[in-house]
Amino acid sequence: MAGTTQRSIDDLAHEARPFVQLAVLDDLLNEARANSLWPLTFGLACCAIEMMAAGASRFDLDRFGSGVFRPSPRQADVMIVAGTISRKMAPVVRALWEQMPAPKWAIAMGGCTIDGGPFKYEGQYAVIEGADKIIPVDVFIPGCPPRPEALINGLLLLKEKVRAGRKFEA
Amino acid sequence: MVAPPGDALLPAGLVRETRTESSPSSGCQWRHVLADAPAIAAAARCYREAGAVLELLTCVDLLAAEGTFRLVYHYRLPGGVRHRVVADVPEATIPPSIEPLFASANWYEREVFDMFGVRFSGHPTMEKLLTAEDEPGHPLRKDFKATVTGLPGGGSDA
Repeated sequence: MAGTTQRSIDDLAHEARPFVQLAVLDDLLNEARANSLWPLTFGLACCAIEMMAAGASRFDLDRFGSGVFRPSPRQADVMIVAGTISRKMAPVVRALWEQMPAPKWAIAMGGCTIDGGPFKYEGQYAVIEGADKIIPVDVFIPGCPPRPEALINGLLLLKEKVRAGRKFEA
Repeated sequence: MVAPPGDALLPAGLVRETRTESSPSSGCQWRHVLADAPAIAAAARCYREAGAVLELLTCVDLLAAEGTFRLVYHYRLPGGVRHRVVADVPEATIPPSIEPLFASANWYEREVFDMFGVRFSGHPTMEKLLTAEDEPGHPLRKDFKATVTGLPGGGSDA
């Protein structure tokens, strides 16, 4: 409308910052969060097998603080979407994401969660073509399935993101 | 118990054509084309009495080519001989369910209904099996066109 000034991105970013900022304490909290990202057990398909392998003894997610997979979304920090999201399952994924308390992050593991993977074709009826169609995703891990080392790599990338204090709001 | 030979198993009135199966990859030795949809139940009774197991029940959309759905049943007799039984049902015909005779037909027939829209009469729970509850349409029909990417029941990619 005529007469109002264009608000710059910097102004909006300033307004979006938390009211109380505790600088060093924030960094400490982010460091703590990064080193104890508790995943939600959310294996949907084949990638779940590799996720289980990553959690087991040879590859061991526990040394990164992520060994305790939580069965309840209320207790989880990160949702590792491991596997194809069928259309029947999509509302469940969304419901679980919304039940997770903030701060929360999501890792899309495997080709199916990136863009539908091998099940994507013109006229397909069965899968959601990518987890980011229903939840905001922080890290994408390509592979079919990605090796456990790739999942660990993705988790380490997420740790860097968490340490920097970056997350989607809600 | 010894099953009767492949071309003597079904009474003549049920069958339009019987021949040996020509495709080795199907694993079937005999192929019967049934005369009509009600013959499905009578044929299933014959196979049940012969001690057969239902291994497969599926459907082919031939609406464009012949105006029918082709139901395909694979029965495996004791001893390993497999019969492929084929029945052509016009659209909107309701063939009989063989679920009272073969319990495995329960999910097979629900899948055929979900994917093609063919209902079976006498089925205890004639409802969808695999697709989301609020998803309309029957996906494996040739005239089904959708690329669905968002949430079921109204999501298309924004």
